[in-house]
Amino acid sequence: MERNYSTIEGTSRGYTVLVALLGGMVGVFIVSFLVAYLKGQQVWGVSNIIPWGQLITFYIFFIGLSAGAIIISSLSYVFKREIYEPIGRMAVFMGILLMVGAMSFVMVDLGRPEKAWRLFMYFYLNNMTSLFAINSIFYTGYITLMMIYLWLIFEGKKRLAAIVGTVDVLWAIAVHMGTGAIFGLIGNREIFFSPIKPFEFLTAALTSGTSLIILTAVVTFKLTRRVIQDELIFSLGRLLTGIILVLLVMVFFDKLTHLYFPNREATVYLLTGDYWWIFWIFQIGMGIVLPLILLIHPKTKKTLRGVVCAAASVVIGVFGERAALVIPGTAHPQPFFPGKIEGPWGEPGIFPITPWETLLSLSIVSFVALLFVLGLRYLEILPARTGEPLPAGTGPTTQPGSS
Amino acid sequence: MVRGIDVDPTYLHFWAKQNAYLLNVIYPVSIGFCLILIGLAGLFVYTFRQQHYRLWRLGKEEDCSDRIPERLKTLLNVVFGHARFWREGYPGTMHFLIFWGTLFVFLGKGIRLFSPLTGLTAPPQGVYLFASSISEVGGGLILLGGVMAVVRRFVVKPPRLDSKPDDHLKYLWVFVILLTGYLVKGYRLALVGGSLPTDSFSWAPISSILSRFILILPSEALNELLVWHRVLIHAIPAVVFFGYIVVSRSSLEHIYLSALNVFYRSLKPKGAVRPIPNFEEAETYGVTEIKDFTWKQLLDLEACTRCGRCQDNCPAHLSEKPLNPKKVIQDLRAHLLTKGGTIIPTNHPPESEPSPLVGEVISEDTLWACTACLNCYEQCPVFISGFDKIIDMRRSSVLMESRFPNELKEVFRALERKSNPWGVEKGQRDDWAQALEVKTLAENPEVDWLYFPGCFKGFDDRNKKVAMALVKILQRMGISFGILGPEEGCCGDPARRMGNEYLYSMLVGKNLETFERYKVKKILTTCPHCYNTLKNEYSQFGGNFEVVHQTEFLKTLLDQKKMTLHNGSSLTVTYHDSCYLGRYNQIYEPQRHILKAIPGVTLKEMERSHERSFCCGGGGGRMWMEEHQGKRINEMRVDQALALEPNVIATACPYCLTMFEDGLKARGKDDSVKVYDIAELVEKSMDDQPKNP
Amino acid sequence: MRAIAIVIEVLILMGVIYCLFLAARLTILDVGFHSKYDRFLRWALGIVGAMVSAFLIAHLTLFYPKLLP
Repeated sequence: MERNYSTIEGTSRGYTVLVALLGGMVGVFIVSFLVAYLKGQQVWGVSNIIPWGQLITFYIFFIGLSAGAIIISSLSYVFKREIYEPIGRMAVFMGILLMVGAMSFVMVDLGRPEKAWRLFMYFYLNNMTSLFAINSIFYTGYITLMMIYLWLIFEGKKRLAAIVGTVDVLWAIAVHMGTGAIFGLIGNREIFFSPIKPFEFLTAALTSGTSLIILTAVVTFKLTRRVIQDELIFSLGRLLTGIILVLLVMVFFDKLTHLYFPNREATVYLLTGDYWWIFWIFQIGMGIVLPLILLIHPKTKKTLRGVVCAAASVVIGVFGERAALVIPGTAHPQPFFPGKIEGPWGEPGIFPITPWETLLSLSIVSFVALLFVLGLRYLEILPARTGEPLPAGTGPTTQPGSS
Repeated sequence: MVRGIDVDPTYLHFWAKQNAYLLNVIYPVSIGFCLILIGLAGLFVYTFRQQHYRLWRLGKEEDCSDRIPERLKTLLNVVFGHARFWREGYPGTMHFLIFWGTLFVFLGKGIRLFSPLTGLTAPPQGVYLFASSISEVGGGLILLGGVMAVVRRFVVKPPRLDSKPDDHLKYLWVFVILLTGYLVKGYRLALVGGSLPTDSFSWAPISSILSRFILILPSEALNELLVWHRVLIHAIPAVVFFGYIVVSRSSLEHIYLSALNVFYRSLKPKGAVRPIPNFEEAETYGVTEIKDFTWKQLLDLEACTRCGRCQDNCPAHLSEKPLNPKKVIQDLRAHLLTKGGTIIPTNHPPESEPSPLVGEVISEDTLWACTACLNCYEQCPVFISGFDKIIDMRRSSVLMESRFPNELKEVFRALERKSNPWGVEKGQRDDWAQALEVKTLAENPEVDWLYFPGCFKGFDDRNKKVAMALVKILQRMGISFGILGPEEGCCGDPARRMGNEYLYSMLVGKNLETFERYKVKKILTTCPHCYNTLKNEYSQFGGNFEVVHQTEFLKTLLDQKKMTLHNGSSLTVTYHDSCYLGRYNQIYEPQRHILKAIPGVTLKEMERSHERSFCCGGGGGRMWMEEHQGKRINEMRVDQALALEPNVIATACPYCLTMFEDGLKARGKDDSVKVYDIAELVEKSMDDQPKNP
Repeated sequence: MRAIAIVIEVLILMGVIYCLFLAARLTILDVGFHSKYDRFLRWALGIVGAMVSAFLIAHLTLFYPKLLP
């Protein structure tokens, strides 16, 4: 079915205020970056013990979020499920922006960002046994593929788009599993080390990505006074339920295995140590339990609000999952020579939440949001406003909200 | 010892170390550059084919590869000598500097590329020192020319220049490339510090001055790193620049497009319009769509650099008509690009319906405002003609669609029926000759010359006097001549210029038949329009005879001392170069020679004279069309003449004569200033001369 | 003195970045992308350019040579 897409008008006060605010935050981005570049990374609270902080957490979080693009776009363009088409372009666009955001996070985290050019000296200057080197190929290809995909969709070349989309889905699997492998391959960090990490990352990416799409779709359509079909959201909710269940199984077995020798001590630290709350309240509670309840309980699973709350919970929960990996994972002392030399001397590290790092994280998130809003304004991403007929055999529509 | 001077050992040490380091910089850069060059060459071939060649192939055949040595000569003249550019001092100088500067830079850098093969030294020695110096000088020339160009385009802002983002970009980019280049050299000189050879300033003046202000790092390793930085910051924009020229439709593509256009320019006489091939069997006439142009005409469109010289000299544009020759070329070009497609095919289906040019790309007002003065072609530094395209579009309009200004309907009818544009009875054509007892060829076919007066002399009262004046001269000189009288038909020039090729070929056919009948070998004309078409265009239909204009003829008589001019009064005369005599046929001097030979005449030249002469407004069929828009061209020209305060305005063309008289009347100066044809002035000053027996 | 040199160098580098980005935009539009993408291209390149410029200021402030010859 041929559908019309349009830009948002960008004439409302809300739009102007939003863009101004986000633009201001980009200024904060620049300033915080300058401060850290000139004064050193200690302003972020990272140290020799905990070298990875908020920025890396956000980086892997954003990569995971971009998986939502793949789900939606493959459903609508590769599997030709028409119901998802209204949000197809938005999903791919978000995928690109979230990857750009992830790259911003990781580039900023590098002490000398300008040396990143070495990442592209494939075989020549790279150590190809490092997963970062391999990932740089994956990420570059991923972003390029998504851009080509989006362009093909804009130009209406449906058949080519389907082909590129299929390649993109397969590539995405490599991307997310590669990100998981960054952690999973590190033998010396007991909380990281696990062959299930790539799969866990992929699954968490799918849950968080789908949830973000749900959230963004509902909010964007409501704020721009467009109609979104409930059935679309519900079906995504059902999909989400299934993936969360898979995630639950993976997390369960991962932690179960780790509770045995030789990783027991670190895992106990994760589950009961200084940062227990990140794991239990955020990763498990908000990332798995609460959403499952909301999505399974008959009272909430049929309401839009219920599904949206579940999605929001998953997003926060998966952020917690990333944090639960990075912070306690690096805080726990490394067993260089178990029993003889530990750690920094066997003591777990402490990670402070510092203002500069927090500002930087929030400002990069705002930057991605700004790019999203500008994209809506200057590219035809959203379907044209109500007035168009809906596909036959679809569920009841929501009334345009007052905004 | 380096370059024959005693140097500080630390200097040697530094340069020795630099030597090893330079091997790490110049080698990879040179090799890398060569590889990139191969890539760029491949890219160039690809984009040339996709973006240009493919579009030209849309057009029809035209043979432009004859007389190659002559073509090469013009090409070298234009490219290296900047012939025609110099007609305007400031732009000519500015472009000359930029071109030669670029050539020097390329030469210098190119030679330097070979230095790894013969052994690197630092500082460069021998030929490489010269090469380095040449590129330094070249950079300075580009900067100088570039500043002149930037000031002209963005500060002075002459109206004929329009600026696109690409124009801003190219200046900034070249400036940045040059600056970073000087910085590299300056930095390396700064690193040497106090032990610089004393003559380094003369080899590299700009870099030497820069090096005084450049800061260096404390350690050698860091300095090497910084040199690498600077080299990359210079090399990357430079290489990407070449890629940009090749891939994008930048105006810098004129480097090869305009050169191609100069090489392939038409070597046929300027005044000859291309005939319609196979007129009898042709199904289309003229140009209706873009692909009806020949490939060379399409190349014309792409070679235009938007310099605007045509615009600044076009009488239609200057008199505020809707015709702007630069815009015509650019509009056609834009149409060619959109119609011809681009590299990446977009989703839009290829157009199958024809898209006509006239009415949609070029408006009818634009098309018919042209006076066929050929000033646009004359002024264009790269030999682009707007005129031939306008004629081709007029042909299509007239012959295929019967669309032309209403005023021309009567003219066409008159030409067809009465062989003259006014529809006057043919029998009256030689009324003017009766009193002078001139014989027609029918009465006396054994003459040396056929005098072909043309329609104006035959039917226009004022111009009849010119014919009579010439005839009196001929009779006095005892020249054997005759006229065709009522058998003479219109030469056909107005019909052809108005696009009615069918009518033209009919008129030519009739005349040729008459010439054949009387075995005409030599024709003398007074009208430059007749002159042009008889001389340059009748051969397209099989005509073969010698054609001479009255001014050439009279000059020959003067040179051979067969004629003396002794009677004159003190007159200030200004001569108006008619388009068809001047730009079309390069006849500028005979008339001036004649005027100066008339006693008492002071000849003053108008600012727009010779090749820059300003059309009277009568050509291209416009004599028979009203000027509905803008100012009147003839009045503008009259004003230019009156600025010299002449007593007499001299011309050699009946169209110009008529337009000047009308113009003077409009200015109320027809009593104080007179317009005369050269023949009339000569005849007057021959008075009292005894007749030749 | 060093500050002035840094400013000049940053300006030169911004000039290089501006040229490269503008060339990229013009070429992209030339080879067939619709002009409807133009606004977005300008924003995207502008933002990246601003980020790169900010980085250059930081980098040069930290690493620009300190010694005079």
